[in-house]
Amino acid sequence: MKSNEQPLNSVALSPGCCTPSRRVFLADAGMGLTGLVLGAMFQREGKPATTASAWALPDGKPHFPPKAKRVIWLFMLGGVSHVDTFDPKPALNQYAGKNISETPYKDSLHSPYVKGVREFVKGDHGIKLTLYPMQVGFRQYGQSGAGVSDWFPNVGGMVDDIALIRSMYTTDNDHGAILQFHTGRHMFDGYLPTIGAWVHYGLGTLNQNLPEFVVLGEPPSDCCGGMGTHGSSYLGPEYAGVQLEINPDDPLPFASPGKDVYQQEQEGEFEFLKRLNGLSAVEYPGDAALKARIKSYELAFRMQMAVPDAVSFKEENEETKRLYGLDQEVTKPFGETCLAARRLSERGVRFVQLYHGTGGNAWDAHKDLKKAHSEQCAKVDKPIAGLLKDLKQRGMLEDTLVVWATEFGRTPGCEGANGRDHNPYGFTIWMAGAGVKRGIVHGATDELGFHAVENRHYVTDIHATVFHQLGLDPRRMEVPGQKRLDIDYGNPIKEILT
Amino acid sequence: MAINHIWLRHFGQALVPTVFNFGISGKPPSHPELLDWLSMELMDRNWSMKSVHRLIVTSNAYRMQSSTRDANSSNAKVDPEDRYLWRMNEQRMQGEVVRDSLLSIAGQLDTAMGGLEIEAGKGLESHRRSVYFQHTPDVQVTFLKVFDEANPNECFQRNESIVPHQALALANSKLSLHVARTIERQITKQAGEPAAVDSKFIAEAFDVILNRPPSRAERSESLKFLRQQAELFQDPKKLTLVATGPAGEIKPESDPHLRARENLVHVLLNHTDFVTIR
Repeated sequence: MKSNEQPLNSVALSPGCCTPSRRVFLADAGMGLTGLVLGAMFQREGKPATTASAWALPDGKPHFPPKAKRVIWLFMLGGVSHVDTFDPKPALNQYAGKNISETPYKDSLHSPYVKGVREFVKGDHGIKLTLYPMQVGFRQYGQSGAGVSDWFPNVGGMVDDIALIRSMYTTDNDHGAILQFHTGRHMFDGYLPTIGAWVHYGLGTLNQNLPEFVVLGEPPSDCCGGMGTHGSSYLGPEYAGVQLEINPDDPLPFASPGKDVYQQEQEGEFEFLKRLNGLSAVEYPGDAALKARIKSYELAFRMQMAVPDAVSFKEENEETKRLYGLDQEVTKPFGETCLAARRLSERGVRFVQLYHGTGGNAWDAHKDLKKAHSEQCAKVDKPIAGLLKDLKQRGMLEDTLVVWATEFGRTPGCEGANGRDHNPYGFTIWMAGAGVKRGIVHGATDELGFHAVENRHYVTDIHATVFHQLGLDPRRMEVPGQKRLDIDYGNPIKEILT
Repeated sequence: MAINHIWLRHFGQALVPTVFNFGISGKPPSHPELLDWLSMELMDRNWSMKSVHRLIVTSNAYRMQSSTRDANSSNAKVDPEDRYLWRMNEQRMQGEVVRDSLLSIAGQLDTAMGGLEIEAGKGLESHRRSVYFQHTPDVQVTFLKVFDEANPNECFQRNESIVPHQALALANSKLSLHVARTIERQITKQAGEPAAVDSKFIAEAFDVILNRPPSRAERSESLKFLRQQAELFQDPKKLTLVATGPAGEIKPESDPHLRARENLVHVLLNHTDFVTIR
């Protein structure tokens, strides 16, 4: 339906101007024979007919002029301690070992914000009262002078290119917050379309040969959203993120049918398969999987060549590889992921979602925070800074929006002897590129880093900001029969935008 | 809990959608009385799961059709997600079933039971059933993995993704080429070689692979495809071989017409109906 010749958005803009038959005609005209079949299928399914006549699938064009063409979404699983990374709090050192109720900040214990959190398991992850000092030093970086901890020296060095948002909050006090950050809703509300799926749904592709929404790294396990954190829910399976493994030895499993097959032979087979599946689609008009499968075969055919090329680093020079830390054991794995993200973005992938820190005690530092966080930071600091530098030197940062995020922060109070618990009440994320102001700090937590108190932002404000930079209005991407709430849309954070 | 899981595996959706959570934060069942009744049945039948499976698969609910083509449109409007089971849900075969089915329709599935676990690297060569392969967080059979094999750490509910990797696994793996070439030879032996019996070949291929006869449109498309591909192979000099990848154990047919038949079988293995349970 995402024909690039016909401005279908006229359908969405002027209600009532177009009857379904015209819409079907346009779709058919753009899609050839199978198009006729598919067109009939969409029609049968009654999607447009069941609702307001103005509804149509998005036409793949932004609703207003965009600043960003693509998004790189870096997500740290488990919860990064904001007070030990991007939101240093000297008061923690000053009152270390004291109960919060004995400090001048005792009122924060009774803040109404405490009540905004839904417990996943009743009684788990309560407020930790004994203040725990910062586990690492920090210093001010760049002209902005923003404080960043010594565990992020390389990203700190790029602070003049990023906008720190230190006033995030969420409402899940457990790892369902991963799902929440991607769908905007509490895990109890179920699995809903994720930010990447919405972007895929709303925008056309920049490269027919690659998936529009690519997922790199290991997704969270089922407890915390699983595949749902890059899923598409009611948008339909074709909009879900496509996982790629970064393995230079085997860049894409089953990329070739073997030396004794002719290219033309294969092409003929795919063409014929499309016709047969199209005939089944008439028989089973309600089968969303079938539609998605037809699309996935078309993409698979084109991906055979494009993906191995995109995730191979042969043509990258040594300097670039060093920039991402590919020359060091510690930084190599995430460095390769970040480099692959750049190469995919460069080739037109709209949304690249990178997970870091699967399993156990990676970022989720309930104990041994100092050891765990110093190790995790060392793995990602150089690759992330390298990615920013590389995007910048290639001019790509102009229209690539980079988001660094995590599910929640960690408590100012101590958990056990040397850990921090989940802190959904306040945490930090940052953005860079594509019309985001450079070198600013937006919002703040209180003196302890407990609650976001200034310019508070719920996770969907990040979604809204991403959509805004991509030129999309999420309210114009409604799906009939699926009611969204006001909170699902959020508001763009205008203060950080140029 | 047990009934909910059994139901999920037959219907593709559970009575209590939060299969891992029966607590107050979970979702309520769509059919509470049914859940209770089936649970009692399970107990009354001496906890015989087999007996409950039989009860479920012989029910009217289970035997409903999945097509919405001639369905009452108000159903689709009121209950688009089919929570109240006004039709059967389509399900995609689990990865193990896809692999085992490929071997089975070629008559090559080794149904031997037990024994040592088999190295994951042999996933495409071994003809043993998929359950016998190594399956750990680090090592899995790639073919099964792309079809959402169970997460080795925890799996309440299989994911049913549709990604291009699955298309590539069925289109390009040496397993599916091996099976396609094997089946073509088997059916050709039965139906005969001449192009005059192509219709018979097509009907037989549909039956073996998709368990149903071709529709009239499918038959004519298939005949056209056989002619087109055969024509292609008449002049191999004009064609380009795929540069990379391992060559199959069974060489492609040298006769253009029979090679076209191989292609047809191979396409049917990739047909949406092959991996779909309706």
